[in-house]
Amino acid sequence: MLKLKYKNQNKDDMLFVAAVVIPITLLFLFIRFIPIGRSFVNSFYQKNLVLRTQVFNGLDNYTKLLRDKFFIRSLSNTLFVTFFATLLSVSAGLLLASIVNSKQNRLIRFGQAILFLPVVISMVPATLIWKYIFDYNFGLLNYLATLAGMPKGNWLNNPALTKWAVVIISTWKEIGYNMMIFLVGLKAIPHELYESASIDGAGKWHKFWAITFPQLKPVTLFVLVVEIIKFIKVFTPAVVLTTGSQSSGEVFYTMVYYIYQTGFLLRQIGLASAASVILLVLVMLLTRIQMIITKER
Amino acid sequence: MKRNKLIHGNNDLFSALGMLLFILLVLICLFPFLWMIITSLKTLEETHSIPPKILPGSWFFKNYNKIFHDKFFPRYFFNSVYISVLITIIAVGGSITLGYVLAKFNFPGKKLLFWAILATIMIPEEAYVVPLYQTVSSLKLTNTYLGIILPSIISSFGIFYMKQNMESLPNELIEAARIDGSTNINTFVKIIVPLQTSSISVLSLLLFLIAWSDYLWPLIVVSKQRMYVLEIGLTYLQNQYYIDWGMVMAGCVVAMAPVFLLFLLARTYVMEGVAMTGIKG
Repeated sequence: MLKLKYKNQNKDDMLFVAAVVIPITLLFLFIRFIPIGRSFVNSFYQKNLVLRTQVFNGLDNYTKLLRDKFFIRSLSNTLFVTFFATLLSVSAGLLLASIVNSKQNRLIRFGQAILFLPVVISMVPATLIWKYIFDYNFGLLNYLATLAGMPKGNWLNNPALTKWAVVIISTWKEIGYNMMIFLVGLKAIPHELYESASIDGAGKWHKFWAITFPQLKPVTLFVLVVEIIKFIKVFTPAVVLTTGSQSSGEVFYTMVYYIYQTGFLLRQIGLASAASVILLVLVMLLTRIQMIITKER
Repeated sequence: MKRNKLIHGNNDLFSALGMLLFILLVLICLFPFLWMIITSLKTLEETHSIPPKILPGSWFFKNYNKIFHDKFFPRYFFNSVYISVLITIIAVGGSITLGYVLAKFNFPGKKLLFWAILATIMIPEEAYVVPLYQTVSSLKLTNTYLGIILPSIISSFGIFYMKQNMESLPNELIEAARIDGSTNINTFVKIIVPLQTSSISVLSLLLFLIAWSDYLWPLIVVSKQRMYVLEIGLTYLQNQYYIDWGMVMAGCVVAMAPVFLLFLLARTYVMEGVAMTGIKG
């Protein structure tokens, strides 16, 4: 691609470039690069947010994390939500996309917009709606459970159920996104493949496994990684569901929740930073995988 | 029609079942929204009644009244609008200018800067909120608008996205303007920006939605109630001893209204923006 070359650049060019690049670069240093660097550095210190004292303690924070039952719980909760929410939202997205693919009418377009609505709204009001549905006494879900002769579930205070509440909200919020990406993937499959398969007398299922599935593999991998990266940062539903009135005080820890709690409520910056670094490394690894997949596409 | 038959065969029963499933899932997806609106129109007794009432006894707008006459709620709404609009304007401004410069000019350190920006796209804010807070608090910016918007006023993704879009503009266009004696600022404002309106709209909507739904950072940096954004304020509508669900749901309706409106008016732009990044939420 042609670029405006140095030799063409006059004083006005230099001023223009400098006026744009210098302030934005400084801002970048200030609110991105330096904080990211400090996150790593902090993780090797014992440090307090308010007192501003610090003692170098090597890898102590990391070993402390592994022995901290709250961190282990936050890690296992996060992985649980990530696994199930990804599995459910991606398979539902694929299912819906294959149903509506190549059938386009008013009803379907309307349905697609509805399915996309949860994707665009904010997480706090979304969680609050569900919190009412999950409410022990007045919630619709427990009412339906009693109608069906099942015991009421303590969705907001029993961690074994709260896990699933978070999975349900997260899945609901992402189905529309996954459906849309799968639709793009389905539309990109060349029709000739199906046509020649039909001439060979292939049936519907055979065509799915022989053509759709392999052709869709890169898109599926892409969606999986995107969703895993999203869910590994799960925070808002965990906080909103398990804090506030009627909370038993037993919060649902996730990794980001742990960082928030340790860093800002307990003020142990070193420990919080070590957890941040673990989160960062996980996300970077996943992103790397995603980039490799995207290149293959 | 013939093409569809080739792909799906003549299996009418199969596609009818599929449609049924689609409609069912759409209804399940829609239900929480309907329930929110219905609940927002109920009295306290109705929201706490067992069995739940499907429809409110009468059109009860008191919850909205309560919300709008709440001591702080209108303030939360204003804060959210103000902050999101500011973030969008500044971040879009930065993205289009730096995107243009990265696409069409050479300067020392350009490659390094571009790769550094690209690298930060993938780093989640959650991983450096602690040092970010240290910085903002050492500048005494906690509980200020500047402190709330500071981490979001540049968007790595926005810069990357605008650079990609600007690269497709022909160099001849810029050269021609230059020969006509147009200054760079003039060329940028009068020629480049008007040619990028659709990509700028997509990016603006996306950044607005992300700013509107930000929860973690305002939670950390704000402790004064009059500086809360909607996301924080909504969670405080829950009373200490019981939850007035009608009022909370009215608050949710109000908090979602701008997003609904944007989605209604510019659905394809919004969907494109969200699809590109996979981010949001």
